[in-house]
Parts: sequence; structure tokens; C-alpha cells
Amino acid sequence: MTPLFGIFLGTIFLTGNLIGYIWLGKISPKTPWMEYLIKILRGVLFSVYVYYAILFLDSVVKILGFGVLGYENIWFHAVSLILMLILAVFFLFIAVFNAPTVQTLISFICIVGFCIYYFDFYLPTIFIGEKDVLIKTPFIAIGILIGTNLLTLPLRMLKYIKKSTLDFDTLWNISEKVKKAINIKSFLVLWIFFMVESILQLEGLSILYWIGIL
Amino acid sequence: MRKSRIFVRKILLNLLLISPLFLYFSVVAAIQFSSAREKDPYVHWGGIDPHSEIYISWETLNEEESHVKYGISPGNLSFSYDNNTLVSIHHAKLTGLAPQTRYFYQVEDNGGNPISEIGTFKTAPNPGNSFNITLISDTQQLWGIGHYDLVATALGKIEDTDFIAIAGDVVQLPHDQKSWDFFFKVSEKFVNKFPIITVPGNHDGDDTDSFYTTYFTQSHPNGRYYSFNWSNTQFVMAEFADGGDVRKGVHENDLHYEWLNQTLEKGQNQNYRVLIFHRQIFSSLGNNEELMANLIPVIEKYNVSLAIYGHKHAYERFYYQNYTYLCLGGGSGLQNAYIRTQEFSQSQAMGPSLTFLEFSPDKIRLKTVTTTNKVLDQVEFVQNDGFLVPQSLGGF
Repeated sequence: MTPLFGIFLGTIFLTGNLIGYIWLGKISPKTPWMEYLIKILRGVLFSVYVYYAILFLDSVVKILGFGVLGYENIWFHAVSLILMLILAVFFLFIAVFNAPTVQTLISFICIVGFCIYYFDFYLPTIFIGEKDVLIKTPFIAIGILIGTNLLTLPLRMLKYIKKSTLDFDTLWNISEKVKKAINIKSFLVLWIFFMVESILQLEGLSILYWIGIL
Repeated sequence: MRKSRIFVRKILLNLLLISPLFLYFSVVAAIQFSSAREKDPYVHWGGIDPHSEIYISWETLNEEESHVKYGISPGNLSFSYDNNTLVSIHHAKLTGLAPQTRYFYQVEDNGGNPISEIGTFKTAPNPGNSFNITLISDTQQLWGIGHYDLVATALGKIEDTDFIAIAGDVVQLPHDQKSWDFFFKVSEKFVNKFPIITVPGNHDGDDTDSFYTTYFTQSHPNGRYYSFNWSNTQFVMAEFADGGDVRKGVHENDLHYEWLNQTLEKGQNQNYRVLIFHRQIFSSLGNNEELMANLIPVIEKYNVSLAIYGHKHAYERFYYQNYTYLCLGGGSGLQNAYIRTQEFSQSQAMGPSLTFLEFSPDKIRLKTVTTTNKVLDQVEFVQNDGFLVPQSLGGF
């Protein structure tokens, strides 16, 4: 994923989360249907958040680490990549490292393995062509569909997922510590940066672009 | 009462959240739509011989006569072009020009009053002369408007270049007058200094009554593809704009391929042959297999020195089976969605960029820079065993 698309996607995620936070009130996780819903949401959130976290990290490593776009224009990409990195870490803590079960970690390793294979080995680059677009399209469509649905999920619901009475046999639970860093305030600050950077990127600029001119 | 207050507060918070993007797109649209219909004079020569002929085109709000004064010194515009036909889109064809000569020109109204600044252009140099040109592509602006503005500002700061080539997708909406007005408005930063040479892209419309045809291709004998010689270099401007142009077995496309073969055959006596078109052959966003199958054999058969295109919004240089392919999509604001580096990719970059090519009898030098003049790619192509081999000079 390129920095511009990463920053767009992050802006949509954060805006959706904040809108959800505003509109959805307190939901009791104690009702049976809500527990059932929470189970489903937990699975969906896990898959999507982990997938996009790996996608973001993949871009950060390849562009900042391996320099696939060169380093001359790095100030144009740096802020997008740093923001993508922060959001990826947020996603991973929300979905995985906050309070994982054994199943969570196994699923996480499977998704990481799939992503590494998919991004770097599946369809060797020399064979990329129109057929690649055809193969990718369903994946992208599913991603967009799930992503769009997620826009209405509030940050508050995430909190309730963790507080639910469902009996998850977690390996550890660092929710309280995580909440100090990942909360509505940090989402809001991150949203401001994503929004500003998105607009600047569309104009061919970036928050740190001017450092590159000096 | 309290509930309704909370409801209103929530609505306001939502509006606050979406307001930055809403405000941004509103401002962008307002700026784009406020571009004036009148266009500063620009020089181009699609379909004619730039050694002795060029077009000066401009647009006026009302239908007026066309008058141009021109000469080889800005203080002595001793020649004139006059056409009393009333038109709003003016195409003044200057003929009988001397090759390898810098000319100056100024457009005048019916009363002989100047209505433009003094512009300048150079006619094609004779064989054996070194020269340099600048290339960009995909100047279309979909959501933002600043990307092309940055590129145009950088073009305006160039000291000297013989012409600026745009490898298609000049605008996003080919039948939207405002898109063209905006393109020319931003291009005012350089059009009085450098001619614009274009090929059509998939966003420029494929019908003869599109604005692309109106502004750039009014006299092409073959429709929208043409060629010209510049010193010892043949520039072949082909029309691989949308997917349909690539296919063989379609009458118009077969004529195009036939023309391409014949034209490149005629160019065998030139030092270099540069093929410019729009649709990508190779790209980190995906290769065009049909174009690979149809065009690479032509490129190899006629020893095309550089194949240059856009369409995919990134800068990339490929070296494939002894031939160089350049993707110049850095003119566009909307970058590619993802990157997959190809095995034969030698350089890639994203963000606004422009590419300079310097032609001399023994080598071609390429330099791609950001709008702040940071070098993204720099390479020299030198003759080796009949092929132009790239030798990196740094950058990537």
C-alpha cells in the first residue's frame, strides 16, 4: 500500500470510529444477543484490524526500511508512514495483544503468515498483469465491504468487548495499561494528524514536506 | 428537552468531524470552477513539421479575429499572422519559420493591442545538435488541485528546455470545460516559455469532438497520433490511450499499428527514436500484457531508444530485454494504491515529479526530480553493442 492510500484508509477508520463513539450509547454486554454479537464482532474486528495492521507495517518496512521509493523524497512520505505505524500498533493492541487467548495468537500467526506469503511471494512480480487485478479485486471488495461496515463501530464498543462477561481464557490482560495509551483522546489526536496529512498529500505536500526543502 | 440538546450536540460533533474534508473539497471545487475560460497562448505542433511550422493557440471569451505578431527578437516582432474569421478558440499556424531559431510572439486583439505577454519558442534544431526536453504525465487533478500546481510551478522555474511533453491524461474529465480551463490556468506558469506536446490518455476522451481534440489535435493527418524529428531524434507520439486502442484486429487500431511501423521504419536514420504514448506497459501496479504482446516486438524491431508512458501514478524506470521503459505518472495527485517492485525495475518514486532528458549525439541523460529539485533518479544511456544501456548516476 502506498502512503497516500494508507493515510486515506486511516482517516476513514478513525473518522468512522469517532462517529460511532458519538452516536452509539452504552450497550449492555449482558444480554444474550449482545454477547453473541460481541463474539462475531470480536472475530470481524480481529481479522480486519490485523490484516490492515500488517498491510500498514508492510508499507512502513518496505519504504522506510528497504527504501523501495528511494530516500530523496522521504520527507514527503515520512509522516504518512509514521502515522500508519502508530495506527498499526493501535490495531494490533486492540485486536491481539490487549488480552489474547491461545486461539487469538494462533490466528494472528496464521494471518501474518498469509500476509507475508500474499504480499511477497504469491504471484511473483514478473507475472503481474491484468489477471493480478482480477485476482485481487474480490479481496479488495471484501476488504472495502468489511471496512465500510466497521465505520459504524465505536471505540466504546471495543471497550465493552473487553469488559464483556464472556468467559475468554486470556493468556494475559493488559487492558488497563493499553487504555491509558489507546483511548478516545489518542484517537482524536491521531485523527487530526491523519486528516491534515490526507489533505496535504492530495496537494502534493506533507506535514514535514518543508523540512525537505530546507 | 435534554435529549434533543444531546441529539443536536451529536449532530454538531459529526459535522465537525466531516467538516475538514467537506471544506477542503468545497474550496478545491470552487478554485477549479473559478478558472477563467480565456486561455493564454500556448505553442504546439501536433501533425506539422516544427522545423518550419508551429501552432499558437489561445481562447477568448468572445469570438474575435486572430492576430499574432512574431519575430526573432522580443523588441522587433516584425512578422504577423492575421485571420479575420471570428472564433473564440484560436489556432494560428505560423509557417515559413527558420529551423533552429528562437522566436518571440505576442497575441493582439482586433485593434492591435497586445492581449498577452511576449512568449517564446524554439523551432526544431538541425541534426547533430544537442538539446533537452522535459516530460510529465497524468496532469489530471481528481480530488486535489495542488499537485499539478506544484509541477507547473517547477516547470515555470526551468531555465531552458525545448518543449514539455505530457504523456496523456491531461485532465480527469475530458468533456468538462472547467477541467480544461483549470489545466490551462495552472499551465500559465510555463506556457509562454515552453511549447506543450501531448498524446491523448484514457481520460482525455476518444471522440473527435472532445476538448482534447479541440485544444491539441485540430490538424493531425492521422487523427491523434503524429511524429516529428528534433535534431537527430525521432519523436513518435502514439495513441494507446484506453484499453481498446491496444487491441489488434480493430480497423482503426490496425491502421495505427501500421502507421507506427512505417513511421519507426522511416526513423531508422535517426540517432534515437523516442516512443511516447499513454497506457503503461510495465508498472508496479500491474503490467499490460496485451500491450506487452503487441508493442514490445515493435519497440525491439525498430530499436526504440526510450518507450515513455504514464497512466499509472508513480515514477518508474524499467530495463527489460535491453530496452528502457519509463512510467512518468508523477504529475498526478492520486498515487497508485500499492507497490510491487518488478524484477527489472531500476528506479521508482512517488509524489510530484518531472523528468528531464538531455540528448547529445553519443548519449541520453535522464534526470527525474521532485518539485523541490531533489534528484529521484539520474542515469545516462550510452551506446553499447547497438543498445542504449543505462548507467546510474545516483539518486535512487
